[in-house]
Amino acid sequence: MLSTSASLDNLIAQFSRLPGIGRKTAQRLALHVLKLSMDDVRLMSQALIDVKENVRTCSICCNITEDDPCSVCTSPKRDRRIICVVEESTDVFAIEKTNDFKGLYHVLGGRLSPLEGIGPDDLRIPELLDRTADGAEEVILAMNPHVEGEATTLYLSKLLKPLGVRVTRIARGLPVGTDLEFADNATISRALEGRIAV
Amino acid sequence: MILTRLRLTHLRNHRHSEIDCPQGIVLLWGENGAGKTSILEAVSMLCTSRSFVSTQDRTLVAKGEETLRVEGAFQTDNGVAHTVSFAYPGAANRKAILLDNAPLESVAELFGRFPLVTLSPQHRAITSGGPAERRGFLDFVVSQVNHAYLLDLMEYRRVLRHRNALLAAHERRTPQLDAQLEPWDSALAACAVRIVRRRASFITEYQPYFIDAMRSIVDGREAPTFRYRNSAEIDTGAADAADAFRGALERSLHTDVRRGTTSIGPHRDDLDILLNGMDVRAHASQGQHKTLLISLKVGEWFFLNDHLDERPMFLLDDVFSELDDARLARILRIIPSLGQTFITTANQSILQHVPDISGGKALYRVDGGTILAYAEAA
Ligand SMILES: [Zn+2]
Repeated sequence: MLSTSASLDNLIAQFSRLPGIGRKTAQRLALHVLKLSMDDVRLMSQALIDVKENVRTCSICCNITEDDPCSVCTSPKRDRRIICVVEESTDVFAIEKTNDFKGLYHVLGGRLSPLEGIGPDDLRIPELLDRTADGAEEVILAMNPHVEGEATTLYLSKLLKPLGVRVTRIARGLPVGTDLEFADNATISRALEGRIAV
Repeated sequence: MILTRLRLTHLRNHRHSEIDCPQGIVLLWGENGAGKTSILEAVSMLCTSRSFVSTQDRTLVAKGEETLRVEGAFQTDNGVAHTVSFAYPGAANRKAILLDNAPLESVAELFGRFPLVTLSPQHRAITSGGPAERRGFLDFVVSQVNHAYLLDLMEYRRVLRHRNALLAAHERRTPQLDAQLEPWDSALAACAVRIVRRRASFITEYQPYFIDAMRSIVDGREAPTFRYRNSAEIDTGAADAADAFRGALERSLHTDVRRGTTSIGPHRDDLDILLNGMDVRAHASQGQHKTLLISLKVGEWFFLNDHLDERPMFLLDDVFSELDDARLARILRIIPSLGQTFITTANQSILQHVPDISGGKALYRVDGGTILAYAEAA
């Protein structure tokens, strides 16, 4: 043990379980907690409990929510004919921020990655197929642009197309504000591949 | 591109070594084990992110030390200065490379910027060893001139690892496995076709350089040729090559599932080198192998020089000791037409034969991990 306090060691061990937190960072965080007021610590621990007690996944779109179904799924303003499939809830936040998308979402909960042992059974694919069969007209596949996202897109499109729905994918191209001369080759190749008529 | 100054800290038997490099020739003379090759390894680490001797960075760290560091000051052909620094271990126990004091996001950013050709005893296996050595040679040269090739190669390897993980997780072929393989096979096929096409066009473009180099080293009309052996046995020039590759994957699937690995693709292809129509691996003499290897590398230098904006640097590690006088004389004659050249030798009598060239020549004696200025001629 590193410290002379079992409680401190325990807190360090708890922080170390979080993703991206190494032993050193965990120690720094634990020592910081020691310096906080009792009120602040109560607020923090209550927040941890609240998030577990109140937040659940939406039984329709699998996004995280406090109310089930979530506010997107129940909103009368959303276009129920379009479903945008994303890997994680964070992707929903990113798309919602744009205010440009008025359809519904489906959160897969990851992407195919045999190297990490993640297969179709680990993703919320049956739920997506049920929803699609239930009156969707277009499914937009919005996976991240790496080989795993690409494989997930292909896998899902094979399953979705026989359902008679329009299957699209988001375009991969140059980031807005990036000049051609500063873009890397892969981005330019993909942007050329995804060219559209004007 | 030239290296103007090189500093090594805790690299193999070097504690702290530092040298100035003229744009012509840097001659490093010393006994075996003195630390000459480590200096060339250092140049290679700066230009390509790795040593040409050891792929394990850990083995490069001086005994009893924690961190090795190599720093170099470069100058482009237009006179622009750059610095590269290589440290191991850096964050997360990986190598940390800084280009002009900014961390690289990927080592891919380094390729082609500081072009380098290395000829060392390690490379003998290119003409005499297994296919992996020749693929390594191909991939290294093509990656320097074609960044998209390097990205394809990296993507191919990642997709391949996923595919192999799927194969290894299944005992036999099932409809579920087929469905799960489908997206990876499709990505693998697209990458494989692009990789093999680029290799093929490289071989066509590079062959004349190889032949020219060979003719400048040995008299005679021997013309070496290449033959690319495609493990998928498909015509990658055809419009439907990706489908044909998928077909080949399908045909080898039963075997692949049993072995838990993918048995066809660019990672299993080979490049035969032929001399008078015969595979040199089985039919070339010792002397022919030496000439072939030097020709491959000299040809590589001229090829890169024609295809990149910067003149490549050349590392010659302990090459002269194995050559007869005639070949040695011819190589020494070629050196002045190459870019900045680093030469190691244990043979003192070689030193006087190295030509004086306009770019200047620096001679260093290396002894027990220490570099001593020996003489300098303008
Ligand atoms: Zn919902």
